[in-house]
Amino acid sequence: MRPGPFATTVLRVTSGGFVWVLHFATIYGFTALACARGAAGVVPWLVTIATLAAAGACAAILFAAWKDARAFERWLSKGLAAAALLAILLESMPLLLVPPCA
Amino acid sequence: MSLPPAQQSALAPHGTEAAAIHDLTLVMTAGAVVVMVVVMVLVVMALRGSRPGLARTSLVVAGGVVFPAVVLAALLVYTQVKETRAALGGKPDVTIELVGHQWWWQVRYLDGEDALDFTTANEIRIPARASVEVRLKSADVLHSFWVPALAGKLDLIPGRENRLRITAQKAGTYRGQCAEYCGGPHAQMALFVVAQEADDFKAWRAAQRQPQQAGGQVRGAALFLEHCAGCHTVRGTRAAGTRGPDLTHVASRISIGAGILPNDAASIARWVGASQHIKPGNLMPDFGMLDPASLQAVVEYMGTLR
Amino acid sequence: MSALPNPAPRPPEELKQLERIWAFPRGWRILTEYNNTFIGALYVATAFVFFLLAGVLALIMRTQLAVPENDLIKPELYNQLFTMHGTVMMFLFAVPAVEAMGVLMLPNMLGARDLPFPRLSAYAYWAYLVGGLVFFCSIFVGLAPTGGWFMNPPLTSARYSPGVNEDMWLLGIGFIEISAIAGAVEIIVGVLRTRAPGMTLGRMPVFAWAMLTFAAMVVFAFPAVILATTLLELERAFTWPFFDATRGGDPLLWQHLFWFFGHPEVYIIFLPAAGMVSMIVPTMVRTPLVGYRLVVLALVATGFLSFGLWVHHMFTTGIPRLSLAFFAAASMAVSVPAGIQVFAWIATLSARKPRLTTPTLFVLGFLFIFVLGGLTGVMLAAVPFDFQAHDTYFVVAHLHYVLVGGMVFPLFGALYYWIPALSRNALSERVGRWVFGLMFVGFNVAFFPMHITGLAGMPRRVHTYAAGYGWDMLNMVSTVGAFVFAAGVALFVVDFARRFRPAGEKAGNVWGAGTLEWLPSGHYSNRSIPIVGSHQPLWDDPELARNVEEGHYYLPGAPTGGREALVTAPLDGKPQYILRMPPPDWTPFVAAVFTAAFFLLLTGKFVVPAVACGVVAIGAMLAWAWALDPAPVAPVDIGGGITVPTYMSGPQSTSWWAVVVLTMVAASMYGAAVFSYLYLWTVAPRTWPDAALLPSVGYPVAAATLVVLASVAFSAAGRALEAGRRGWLLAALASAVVLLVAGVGVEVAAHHALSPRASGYAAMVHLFAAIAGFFAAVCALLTLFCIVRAASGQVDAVRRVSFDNARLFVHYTVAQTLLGLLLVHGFPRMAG
Repeated sequence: MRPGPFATTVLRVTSGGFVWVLHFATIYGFTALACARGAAGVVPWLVTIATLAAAGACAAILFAAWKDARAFERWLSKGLAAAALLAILLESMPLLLVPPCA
Repeated sequence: MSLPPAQQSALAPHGTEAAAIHDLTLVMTAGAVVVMVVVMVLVVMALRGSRPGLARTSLVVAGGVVFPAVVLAALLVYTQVKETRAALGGKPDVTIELVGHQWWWQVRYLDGEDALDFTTANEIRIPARASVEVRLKSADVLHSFWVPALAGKLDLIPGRENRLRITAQKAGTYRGQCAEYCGGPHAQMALFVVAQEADDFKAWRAAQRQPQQAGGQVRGAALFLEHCAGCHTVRGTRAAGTRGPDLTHVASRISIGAGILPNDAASIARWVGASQHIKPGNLMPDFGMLDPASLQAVVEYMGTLR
Repeated sequence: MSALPNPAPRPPEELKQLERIWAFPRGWRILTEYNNTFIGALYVATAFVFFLLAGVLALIMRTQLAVPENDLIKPELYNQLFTMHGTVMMFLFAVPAVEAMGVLMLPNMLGARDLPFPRLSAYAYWAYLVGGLVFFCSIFVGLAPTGGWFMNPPLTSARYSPGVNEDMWLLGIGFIEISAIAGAVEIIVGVLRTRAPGMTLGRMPVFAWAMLTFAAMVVFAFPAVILATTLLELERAFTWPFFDATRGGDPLLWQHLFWFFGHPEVYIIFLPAAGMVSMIVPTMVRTPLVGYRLVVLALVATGFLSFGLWVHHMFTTGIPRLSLAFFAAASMAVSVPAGIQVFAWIATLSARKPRLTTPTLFVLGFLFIFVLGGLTGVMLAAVPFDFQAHDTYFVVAHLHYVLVGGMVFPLFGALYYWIPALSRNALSERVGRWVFGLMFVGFNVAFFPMHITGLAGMPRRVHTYAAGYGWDMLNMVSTVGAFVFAAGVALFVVDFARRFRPAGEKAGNVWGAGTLEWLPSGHYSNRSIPIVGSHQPLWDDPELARNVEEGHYYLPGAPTGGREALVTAPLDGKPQYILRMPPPDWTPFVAAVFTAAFFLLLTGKFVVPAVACGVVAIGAMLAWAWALDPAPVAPVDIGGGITVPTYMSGPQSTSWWAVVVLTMVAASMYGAAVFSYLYLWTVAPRTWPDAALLPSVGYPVAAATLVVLASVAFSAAGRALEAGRRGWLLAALASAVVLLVAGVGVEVAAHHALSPRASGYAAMVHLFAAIAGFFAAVCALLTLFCIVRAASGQVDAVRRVSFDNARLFVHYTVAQTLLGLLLVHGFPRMAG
């Protein structure tokens, strides 16, 4: 089934939010797993890669010129991507301050 | 007689962690007051209709996005960088295993090789200014170890062992209380932490290690073996029950009933006779069937367990 | 502003017909009425009654705590009191109250005759009323749960809580969750599909945005707690060790699942209330909301971020510092969207001197209390501070500041604000000031001291406390404050009883508000459906109300002769079709009562009567569904030269949308199950078997083949339907059922040698088989329903909604089952 214009719009508007979800689930889940299996060393790498990828995705959403003609929806998708970027950076910051698995 | 004065306030810290958290509390409270005042001043100005120029999106962005983002990033760095909870590395001066039970605390002192030194209950003695590791375990449900004057809390979880380092900055008596709801008389699951000078602690520890001599107050001892030994241990005697607190040196403790009653003859008599009235739902049955003379004998015997 | 769609005067009998069609049934049959104004009002009132009841429990607790070492109340009762206070306030008051406000206000606010599934709302309401009342009464007979509203195992396991008290919670709350989800489906599809023409997403009232976010959050958050309660009930009833550490379970799994629901829950309650504030403030300053877009963004962003906070309820469980720091950061990040809204309200209030009406007072009280609660929330997000404050009266103070401040005060403001739209009289402004004053002063006197009580060392959930620790006077002050607060609430009740009169002419737009809910309306909502061109259409067009009432806008009558709603496109609100609704009948009411009875009887382990009630409930639902999907009639002219169809199937129909939302609910529950599996593997890998001990690969391959063939059969049925071959259709549908059931049967048989009681792993494996079985059973029921309808000639190439719905759900089930097979059979081979 081809997604209708509404489904496409919903995905665009919420894409920033879902990037945040993926990033948060990744850093939390893999840190928990790595610490449970005594692999503290991989945590900084994982979090850094996930954060760069997520920040890149948010930036891409912010700069992408959606063909969507509706100004409000376009603004909302960019706003959510910006909010997600802010949250992603804030949440990854502790990596610089706290030893993994302590 | 009543329980000795003891601290149970995070606002009067006497431990390194509690002191650090107290600093953090003061800083954050001051910040919160400032923000609260600024916001309320803006509201009052709005109500007076004196600043129509504030009705702009830029106020929303400045106050709702930029300001909190900057302040929160700073706060996050501050809270993460500030050393509050001591790291677990390095050998502690004293190691204690604390096992939570519904509704009392089993306290097991470990020696340098993590082997059991002796067991006591509902009271922890530590040397002042020393690093003490408390290993937290649970025998049944969730509990939480919290002595506010010394440190923040940490949970006791079945199947897990949590470790906490505490240091009392000076000698004193500090009260703690189970802080994770554990059913029934959760409110009456307290304990005392007594920080002593190093020599006093050493003497106490040596005394606690000793078993009791069998015999003693003969009638009371016999009654104790008959009625109490199924659940309680008195090392050196045939009393070796493990369901309730170890009572080997019970007379040396501050409190009975897990930190809720003073340790005197009248309280012990009340407790043994009607603990279900004092602490409803606790796992010790009432021994109301003991005649007054027998009860008195048991109480006197317990008074000899110094 | 475009020309009026129906400029000519309307025939006089048209209004009479509309009134007759939407009139409430008389006598006992009033229970069959599903109109939103009826159900919505009852819903709000019932939620309010639970607020009063849970408040009384709180007063009893405050009386006990007024003095130290009080023995008025024994711990057994006290534990029931605080468990019921929290549970009733959260599940029977807060969530239903905001959902009820949505059901009550949204149709009028959106310009809809009714939301698309009013009978679902009616079902949700009656199940909630019956179940909620019985659940509450458990406290009178000593059977109320004692595990706290968070129900942490192992305290709530059969070993430490052997009575039925905890089952009361697990099953009693179970159907309230179902009822909340039913309401969420209604609100999502309603907000997206029944808005007035011209009301684009960017012109939607903020309250509608808030309710849309609310409903989406319910869809993703509630399944986690439904799964959690299912697991705990399985552990209690059948000793499947999900949370038993001695057998490879973990008590912390419960906390993860519960708080994954529990923290979003707080925002689920707060966002609609914030939406109410965003409606009241512009009216009281007669200025559009400053920063509308930012406020909408804040709502949506909160909807996401609130799912990243749950571990801040678990800071003291010994999780590694870095993980805690992620959650501390997320907890701080979520205060940004809250800040956006607070400053948007302040900016709007600054535009012109606001009118100090009672709704304004409640908004101001809300601002004070909520901002203070938000600031203590930031403090609690700082991990070390939480080590001290967690589970103390500081947290009690904080949570009441954000919940009472963030939800109860806006709700009272909203009641004062909207009652003129529902009643002949507004409430008294003079009494309103006293109500506000007592509530505001009482609240702060009760709860502000608790910040200090907590930091001074008093833990929460204690039935008594020792004297002499500096808590005595603080507790006495809190108790006095609680009674002052209660006096304010009581005064409100008195004023409400004196002045609220729902029948007859309404007081109307006394505040001069600009949104559609202030249009004159009857049971049919608006006489005609307006065209919306801005956020405050009533301010832009002073003639709007008159033209709506004279029927000059869309759909001024009832052209199909029955109850109907105008369904519009989700993005721009273009009219799409007329949704026809059957007249009121008993099926939703009967289904609701028997659903509640099913769960409640199960609590008491009355299995046979419970199953009988369940069968009646399902039967009533099928009868209810039978009346839906009526045969198509001719398209109708709604005015303005627009003719719309009266029947719709496929992706444009609201029914399809409801099934899509339902699959999202199912998917989030499945996601929570997958998380639980992986979590236990992370914590207790020792119970995971070597590949050699797993069922042979033949089992999953056979099961997968069979369920995929079921999907294929359903697709073949679709082709037969389009070709008009009824015989082939019936054969294909029947074989789909057989294949699906056979596939799931193979998976169940694959694990016959493994006892679910053996370990956390074994319990998980059987859980996945059980889920597959449950979904297969639902699919079978839907398909059999479809077969019966097709056999009786009620499914064809045009009239095919029942078929489409079943097909969508079957395809989803097949995909989910395949994922489960991959996890259960593939993961241990991969990880081992």
